[in-house]
Amino acid sequence: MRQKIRTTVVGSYPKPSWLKYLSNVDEKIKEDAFKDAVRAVVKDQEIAGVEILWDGEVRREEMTSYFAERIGGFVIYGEVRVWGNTYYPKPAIVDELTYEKPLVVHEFEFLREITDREIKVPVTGAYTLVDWSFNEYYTSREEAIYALAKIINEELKKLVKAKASFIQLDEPALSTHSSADEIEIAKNAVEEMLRGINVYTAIHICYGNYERLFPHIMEFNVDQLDLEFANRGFSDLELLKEYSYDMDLGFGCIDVHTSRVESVEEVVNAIKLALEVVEPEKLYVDPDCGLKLLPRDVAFKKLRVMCEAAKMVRDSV
Amino acid sequence: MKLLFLRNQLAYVKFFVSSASSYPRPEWFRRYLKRVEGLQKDLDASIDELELKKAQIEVLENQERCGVDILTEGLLIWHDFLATIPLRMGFKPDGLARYFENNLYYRIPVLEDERMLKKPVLEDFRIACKIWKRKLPLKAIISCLTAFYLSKCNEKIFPKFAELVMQEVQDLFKLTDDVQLDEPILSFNFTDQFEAFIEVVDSFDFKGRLWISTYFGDLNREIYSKLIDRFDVVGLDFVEGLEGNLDNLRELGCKSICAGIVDGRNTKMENPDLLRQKVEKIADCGPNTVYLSTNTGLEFLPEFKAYEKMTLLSKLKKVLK
Repeated sequence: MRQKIRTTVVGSYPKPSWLKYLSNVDEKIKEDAFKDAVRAVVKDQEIAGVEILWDGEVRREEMTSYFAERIGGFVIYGEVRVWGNTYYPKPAIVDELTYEKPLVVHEFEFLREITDREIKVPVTGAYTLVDWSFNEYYTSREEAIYALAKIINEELKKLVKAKASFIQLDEPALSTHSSADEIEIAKNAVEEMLRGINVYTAIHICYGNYERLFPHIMEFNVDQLDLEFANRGFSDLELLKEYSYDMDLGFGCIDVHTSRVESVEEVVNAIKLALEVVEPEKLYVDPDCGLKLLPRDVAFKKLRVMCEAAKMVRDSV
Repeated sequence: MKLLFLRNQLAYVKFFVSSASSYPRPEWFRRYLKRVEGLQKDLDASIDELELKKAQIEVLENQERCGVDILTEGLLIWHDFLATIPLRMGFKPDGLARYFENNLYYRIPVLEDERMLKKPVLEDFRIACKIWKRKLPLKAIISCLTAFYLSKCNEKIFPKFAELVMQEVQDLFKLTDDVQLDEPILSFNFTDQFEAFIEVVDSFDFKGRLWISTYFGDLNREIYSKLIDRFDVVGLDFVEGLEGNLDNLRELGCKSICAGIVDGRNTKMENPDLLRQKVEKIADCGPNTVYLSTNTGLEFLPEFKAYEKMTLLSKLKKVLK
């Protein structure tokens, strides 16, 4: 029997401060520091009560550039703004894209050694990677996306071979494009990325216009849609009701762009709203998005409140 | 014969280089803003005017060095693209969204109390005017239709909203000869409030060159025909809306065009010969003046690429002359 109202994360977590001081140390020390950082982040999640973990993306500086640095054909010219005062090193595709080295499987393998809890592996999807990069090589975005989807598929097969059981494709760019053609490209890209992958899968999409996605997004070859709801006061749940949503739901119930820590009561009420859309067995509760921009103590408190609220609702249904 | 005709057409056109709107923030200024404002939703802290002036001077001097003729102060403290305008009109920020296929989050302005609605003030532009004592003109950037589209409020208040924006436009003309309304929403055939917008624009008698900038695509014929009748300079996107906007130009003409011929959202450098051919097609439609520009503001590019793109435009202008 499936468990009810499971708690998880989207991916990133605030990095332990010692990682700032690694620029002039040798590789062995750097690797040890990263491993200790993962241990610390995992411990925070376990204490908070999170059931399905990730490593906080401590090795990843940014969700696009991390992958671009490991895939042949990308260069990084410099930083561009992503919002407010946050910048990211935006990659440019300047040559044919090629698989060069492992992307995330080593992250998964280490995490598997240090926790007994279930693990979700977030991987930035091909659609978003191309959309958030400059393209100087391929004649169309579509061509670049499908080329990259094959590379991601290669990595996902390695993950499955290493016994990963839950993979999340991060595709926030999807909700910013309005045409049916774009949804079709994204759907085909997901098909390509998940070709031959027979584990539980989710797609995470945030901070765009969800109206553009429905109903076509429900035809994507994934088990779960992980969406943000707290950011807009949970109003997007009405959209799911409108389309009789019937997939598993990753329910973003914690606002990750404010330092205000929600009360348990607030989150309990939010989870109850989600239960008007899906049954408890299909509900996965998590923050709206990654937590890395928050102070670490705030991120921890938010996760703890979320898990406490999930437990209260779980015990009552 | 055709080549001779084209060469003759070019001879009748005045060419200038104009900045579109935004410019990447200097790196030290980004660090300063992070320190003062943080990273999260609680932006718009009180910024030291001296720091802003230093950043504006640097951006203006960069444009001058590139060979730009009509400059902008770069919209250096506009965190939310054109949604910055309603946030200066009494709207409060609430939630984040992305628009126009930009990988940029903007805060959503919400009007909680209509009595709070007030005229927007481009204080940052006024500061730039005080410090920019050069002879090159400084263009002010504002928005009405698109700013309203990006906000959440009762649609019925649009005439009042537009009136307040145009009052600021009128005040800006006391400081500059060039004010530009950025209206990318028009490239999406967005016609809500369009007639009301035209009505409010027509009710003012502006003393200066009123520009309208459209981008992220082409304009439908009807919208285009109404813009060329009442704006002194019409900005068209000849990157993402090349064929449609060329058709508009061929059919209806336009006296002064701000031609967005270089891609402001991609690092790939344009081929100068292909750019020249594009300009020749535009000149063939008979405008008197063409302002060569990027199709969008430059905040989407790393700083050195923004500089390279503007330099490319000023080299093109020299070749055309």
